[in-house]
Amino acid sequence: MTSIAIPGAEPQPRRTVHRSWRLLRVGVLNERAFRIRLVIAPLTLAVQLYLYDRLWTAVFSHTTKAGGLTLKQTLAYSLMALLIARIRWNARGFPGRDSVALSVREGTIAYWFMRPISPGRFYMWRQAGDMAYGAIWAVLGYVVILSAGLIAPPHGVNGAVVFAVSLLLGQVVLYYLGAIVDIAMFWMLSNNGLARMYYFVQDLLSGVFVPLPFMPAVMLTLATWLPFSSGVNVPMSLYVGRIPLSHAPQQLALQLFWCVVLGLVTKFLWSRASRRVTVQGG
Amino acid sequence: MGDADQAIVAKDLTKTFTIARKHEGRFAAVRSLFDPIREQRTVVDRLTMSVARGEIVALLGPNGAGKSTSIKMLTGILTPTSGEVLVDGRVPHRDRIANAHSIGAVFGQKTQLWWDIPARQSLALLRDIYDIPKSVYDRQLAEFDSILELSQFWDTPVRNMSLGQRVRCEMAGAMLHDPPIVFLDEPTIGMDVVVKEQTREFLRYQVQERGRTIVLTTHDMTEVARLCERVLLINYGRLMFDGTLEQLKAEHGGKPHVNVTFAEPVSVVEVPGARVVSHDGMRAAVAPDGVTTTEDVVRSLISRFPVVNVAVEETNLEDLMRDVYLAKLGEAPVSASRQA
Repeated sequence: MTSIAIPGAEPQPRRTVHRSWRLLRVGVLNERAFRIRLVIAPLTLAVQLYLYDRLWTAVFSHTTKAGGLTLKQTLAYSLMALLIARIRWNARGFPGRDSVALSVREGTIAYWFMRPISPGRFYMWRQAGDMAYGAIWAVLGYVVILSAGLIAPPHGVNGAVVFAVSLLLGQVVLYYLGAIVDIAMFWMLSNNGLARMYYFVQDLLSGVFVPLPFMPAVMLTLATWLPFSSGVNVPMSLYVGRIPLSHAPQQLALQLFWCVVLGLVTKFLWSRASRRVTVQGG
Repeated sequence: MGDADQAIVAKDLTKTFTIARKHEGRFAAVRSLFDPIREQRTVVDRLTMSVARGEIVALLGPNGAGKSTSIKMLTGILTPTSGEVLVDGRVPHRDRIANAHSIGAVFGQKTQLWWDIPARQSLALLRDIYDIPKSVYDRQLAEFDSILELSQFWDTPVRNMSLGQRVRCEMAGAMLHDPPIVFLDEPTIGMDVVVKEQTREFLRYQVQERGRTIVLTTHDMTEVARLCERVLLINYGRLMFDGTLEQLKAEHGGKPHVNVTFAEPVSVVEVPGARVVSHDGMRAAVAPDGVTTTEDVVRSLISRFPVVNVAVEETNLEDLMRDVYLAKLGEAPVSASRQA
């Protein structure tokens, strides 16, 4: 690189850690730009949690167990599934104008390929920022429903640690799946339909809408073989004790397997996308 | 290739896109959906050019000529179908990360700033992306502010800015990391004259004081005349002219017109060594041909006709470019005096 001599410029020590991680804050800055969202977010969560609580309480009014789960387990699974879904709520389509879909459509994707961090890394920091913001709401919601006695705490320290690790791996799996849908924009130029279909399937087969144990056997088997269940069903099953802690290593290994496979697929797709990128408009 | 004095060198640079075209006739919509007609379209065709370090050049051409595609190959965004390109000594599309430190760009209406947050925070985000040390960042920002007056509006969310304010922030964003080469694709489109002049002053400063190389794409010929000594004219994806504006004027009849008003109607206007551009009895516009000068034409007109008023009209650059664009330039390059 040819540098330009600027009067008064002193040589700067080279940092070992690139500061691009600070892109994490974009998610919060975007939310702060629309303060109404700070009201809508907890309100939406409160309505969802209340309705699901009422729904499952009504379902269990004439039975003590369904799908192998008690009311307490079902409530914990369902309410926490809503909170987990909240983590990636904004990341599903960045609320600002820097989503892959909009950037490809408007041609601003050009800038992603002109920066000293790869488009994949830029995307990762932006997603991580939005997910961290969503996680704040999820944790707040968790504290509220735990304090209200709607759910029980995890089974001891081991249970909490296993749940946390499983939840983290599940979020990585969902991040990669979402990334694949987003990168499809480079080929499709409009992935609205794909994204809607994908997120419906993801929510259904991960356990956000209904706990997976309530699914018909065929769907349950299908969900188990696909990566979606890693996102919600596995961590929640560990939390409520449907999967005993003694089986946790196999489950965590399966989640890790999906992380590696989907990570490689995503890396491959980013490299292909960077070769076929076109810029809409002049 | 590889001349150290050259900031940009392109040789036989070509970009071909595959375009999906619709069928015609029965079931055309269904057939087009599943099996569209695919055809190759060459947008940039064996473009050979170079830009020296510290030079500001205008990349001109009508809409669809291949200017923006050329810039996107030079910035490394697009991978050329064939040909060679070196920007600051690197192949931009093969080494995008390193190339990013060498280049900055503004793509007209496309913003790289974050739409919903204040511009100053967007610039801070770019500082983090480019890993710019704080002292350099502060100095750059102060310098940009002194010319572009950014501090008057940089705490406003980008979505609430006027076009002129936003593009000034875009300029700052493009040069924040101190790149030696800057690509500006129609940066002043839609700006008012005051902001345009402010932007031009900024660009002149960046070239003269900071030694940056600037490649400017624009349809604003006033901007070209005020900023660029050299123009590269592209049409049909090919380089059609490489030289100064004066050379372009000389090659395309860019001599001034002589507008004359007669004391009484004149039926036929004939001037040796000149052609009549327009004539309506009482008035005529005459342009010198070949070696004939404007003074020769004025003298001839006064000696031959009852002239009451004569005015020399300088070449209108917009008209000149229109004539050049319409001159079926696709057939052969006009000049290649400075091809690499």
